Amino acid sequence: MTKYSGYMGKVLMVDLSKSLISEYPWSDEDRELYIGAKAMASKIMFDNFTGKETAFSEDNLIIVSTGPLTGTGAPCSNRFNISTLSPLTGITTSSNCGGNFGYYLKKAGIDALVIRGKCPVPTWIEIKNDKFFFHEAGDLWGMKVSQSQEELQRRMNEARKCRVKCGMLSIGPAGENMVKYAAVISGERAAGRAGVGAVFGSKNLKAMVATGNHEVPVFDPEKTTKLYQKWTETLRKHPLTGNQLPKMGTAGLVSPMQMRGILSTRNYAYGQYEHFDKVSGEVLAEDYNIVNKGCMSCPIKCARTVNVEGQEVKGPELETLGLLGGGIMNDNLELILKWNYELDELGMDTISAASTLAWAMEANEQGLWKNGLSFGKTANISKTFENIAYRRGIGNELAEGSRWLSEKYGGKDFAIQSKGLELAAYEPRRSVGQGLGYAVSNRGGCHLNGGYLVIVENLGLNADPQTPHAKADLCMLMQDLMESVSMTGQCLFTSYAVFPSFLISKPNSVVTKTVNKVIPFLGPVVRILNKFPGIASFHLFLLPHTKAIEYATGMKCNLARFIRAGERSYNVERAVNAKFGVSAAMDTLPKRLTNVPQDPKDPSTKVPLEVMKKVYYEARGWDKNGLPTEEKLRKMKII
Amino acid sequence: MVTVKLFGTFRLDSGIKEMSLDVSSVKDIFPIIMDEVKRRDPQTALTMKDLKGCIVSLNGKQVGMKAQLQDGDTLFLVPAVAGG
Ligand code: SF4
Repeated sequence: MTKYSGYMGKVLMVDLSKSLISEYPWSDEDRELYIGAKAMASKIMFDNFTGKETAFSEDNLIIVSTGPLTGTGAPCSNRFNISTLSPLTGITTSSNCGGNFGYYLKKAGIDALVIRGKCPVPTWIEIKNDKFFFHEAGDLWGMKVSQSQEELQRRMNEARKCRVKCGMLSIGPAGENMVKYAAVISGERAAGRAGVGAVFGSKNLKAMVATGNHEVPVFDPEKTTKLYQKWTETLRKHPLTGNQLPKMGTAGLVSPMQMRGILSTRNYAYGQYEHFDKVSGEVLAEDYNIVNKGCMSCPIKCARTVNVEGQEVKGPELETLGLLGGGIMNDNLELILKWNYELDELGMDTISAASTLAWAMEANEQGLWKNGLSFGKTANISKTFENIAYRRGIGNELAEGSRWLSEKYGGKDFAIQSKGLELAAYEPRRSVGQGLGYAVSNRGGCHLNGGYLVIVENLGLNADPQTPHAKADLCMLMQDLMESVSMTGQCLFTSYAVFPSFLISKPNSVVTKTVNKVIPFLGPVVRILNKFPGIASFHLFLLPHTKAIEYATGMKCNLARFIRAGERSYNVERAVNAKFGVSAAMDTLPKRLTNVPQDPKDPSTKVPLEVMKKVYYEARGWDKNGLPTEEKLRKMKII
Repeated sequence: MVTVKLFGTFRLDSGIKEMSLDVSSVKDIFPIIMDEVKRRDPQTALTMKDLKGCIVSLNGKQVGMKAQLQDGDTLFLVPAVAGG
């Protein structure tokens, strides 16, 4: 139970080994400190993990959690989070998903599931108004993702003799075969990164379906509705969320990234791809996009729909276009659409799959591992993805990811990963703050968990991308803000409107140029805000999230509390990782990015990581080893 | 002749992917492109401001309005907007 609206007041422990359900203790004080979604999952992991667990051990937890705005009608708010120990990295991971499961979990009266143990046989779970039914899934095992979800929908309909509105998630063959970067798919949206699907597979959990007729309570419906209407209008008017993302999706970034030299090319050897205009968002929009789609309750609708072999399916995101385009020297967009679909159907993360493939191509070229894969050779790629999912032939080793492969065969310098997680398509040697983010990110080489400084350095704003000045403090601020947005249950894209429109649409104006010039000198100012967020005890028009929390839940919130909650979330996640051996020594990037200039004539085009790391740990108030001290954890009320 | 390639939402909205222009400076390309936009669609909502909201890149390097052009150069016009 909870005194706050927005929540269903129920967090449940699901013991798969015994098919037992019990309440997981989660108090209102926890809600105030951790809000929901990813942050609450990190705290639950902190409280339960000792450091001895492994990704595939029965005592690993899968935490599926929602935020308080999920189901309240806030724009882009029906997202949910899956956190667990990752088989790819051996540390925590969190995967945020825009599929329909989170919304229906709340309709079933539940805020979050803490799943432990292992089903004795392949199983799918039906949740109906907080009642759980464990069904054998032997006949679903082996099915690809859409077939599995269609079959589950059919069973739900058949049992109730009508079309049942429900949310679901499922793994595909990659998850069943514990491919280390297997995804969980909900509808068409993926909880893609770091192998959450493999953990489902290790627990014999094929799928979950949620349905129910609970209403999500809202504290002040009138104010909430007004705020949401205004917010939606703002998103629709903003050049990023109202124009760029709806028209081009994230795919629209390929061309700007090419211009800025940050489009990963040939396994990150270069930052520009000669044939980028054949695999760009423009061509996707002009020749292939059928209709824009989006996650539930989203007015932006950044997802694409394309035709693959006569079927309308989800189109690729920027990361997939970059890594399966220039990343492997492929200029055939139709092939990328097809591979993207195949990877979704097999239930595999496109980023890690593509990046591992690029590493294998280079390893083959250098004679480290003869595997038949080459840059520009596309004929064997579909088959290779299938082999990975079913762990056949070289696929069995590719399924382990690029860190594992480079430890076995050599070639660590060009295994483009951090803490075991492959980087997204943003080449950081011309965006050094993004490079810092990749290295210190809690879940490994993730562009979002890393703070997404590329938006300040290259895309959107244009603050000197080669200077380390102010980057550490900005990285911390951006990471914390993105944590906060995530914990509400909302899409990170709702925070883009924080950049005033004119800065985005007038990059050549005197004001924008001045802002870009000034940013590298703002380190001390950002440090003060990071250190004393109390000075921001107000609501910021550009970040309506804080008011939304107040109006929807009745919980006190302002910018200061919001940033503090984000910081707490980042710290608790780091503290979990510390139990599994993470320290400064693991906050690294491959030598290709730190030691080899992208432009041989310009030594500044590499990531000055160690300089920025030192300042970053100071900014965070962590010790020299990059870890939060006991005092810090106490101050943040984590212990 | 200089080849100008357009990207981003300006390209989608105008339908212009590429133009060959006889110009000697970056700033000269803008009025010609706008004329072409209006020729194609006299009711267009696109303005010179939209066009100038693009980053200009010459042979792979970002340049300013005053940059001089030579025969055979390729210019890219890309909006600065972002988000992935
Ligand atoms: S902006 Fe895109 S990712 Fe975000 S909620 Fe909307 S459709 Fe989903």
